[in-house]
Amino acid sequence: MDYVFVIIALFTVGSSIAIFVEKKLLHSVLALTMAFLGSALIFISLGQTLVALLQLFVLVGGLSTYLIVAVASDENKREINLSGFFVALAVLGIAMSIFSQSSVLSILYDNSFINSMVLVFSNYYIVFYILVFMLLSTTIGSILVLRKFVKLIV
Amino acid sequence: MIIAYIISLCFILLAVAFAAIVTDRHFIAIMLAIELIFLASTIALVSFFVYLKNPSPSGPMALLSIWSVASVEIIAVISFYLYIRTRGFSFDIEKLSSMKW
Repeated sequence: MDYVFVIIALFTVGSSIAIFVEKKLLHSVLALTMAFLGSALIFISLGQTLVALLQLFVLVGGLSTYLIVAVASDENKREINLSGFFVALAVLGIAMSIFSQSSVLSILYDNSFINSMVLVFSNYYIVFYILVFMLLSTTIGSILVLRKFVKLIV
Repeated sequence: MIIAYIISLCFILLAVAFAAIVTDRHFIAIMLAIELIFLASTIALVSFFVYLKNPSPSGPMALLSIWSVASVEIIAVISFYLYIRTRGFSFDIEKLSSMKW
């Protein structure tokens, strides 16, 4: 089981690194699709097959296809800045040093953090209404932008 | 499987995405990095939900909200991509100040 997880994790991390190493944008989006697929495999290894199926439907099947179609005609090559490798190492070191503290681990295993988060979410559900309104306004704004410029593309 | 492995994987994905946001100047690449952060948060949320003794219905609700934000972000990416491309502007994030109505 652990070997399977290691293979899936390596696949996901490799895909995520390939997003920013590839020079062509289309290859980056394909790598993002592979990262989505890796996350679905992780969900399957956790026993959450329904979540994996939704992940495949929503992100891999739907949104990644839209992204691929959108950037398929782009021939621009972007510059790759390899100094991001050191930034990633710094962020990872800071995160792992915080995570390795015994107090953080005890919070994780006691689930008190999750329980308090759940309490906050259930008490302040109005935040979710604001979130939904923000998403709706963003979608409408995007459709308006597309409606104005879609004649120039087709 | 220990949950620490999954959290470590999420940290690695977060570090890669953060590095891309800091160093990459391409607009679409930065949005893809944000999408990768959403992916890491989804994996962390589902793993927490799996390892909880008494899971709450708020877990799937938070998962749905993450998915919806990721979906809207991709819609925004496509619309801005088409906008910038039809206008002939550069995708360099430092030159996007010229994108005015």
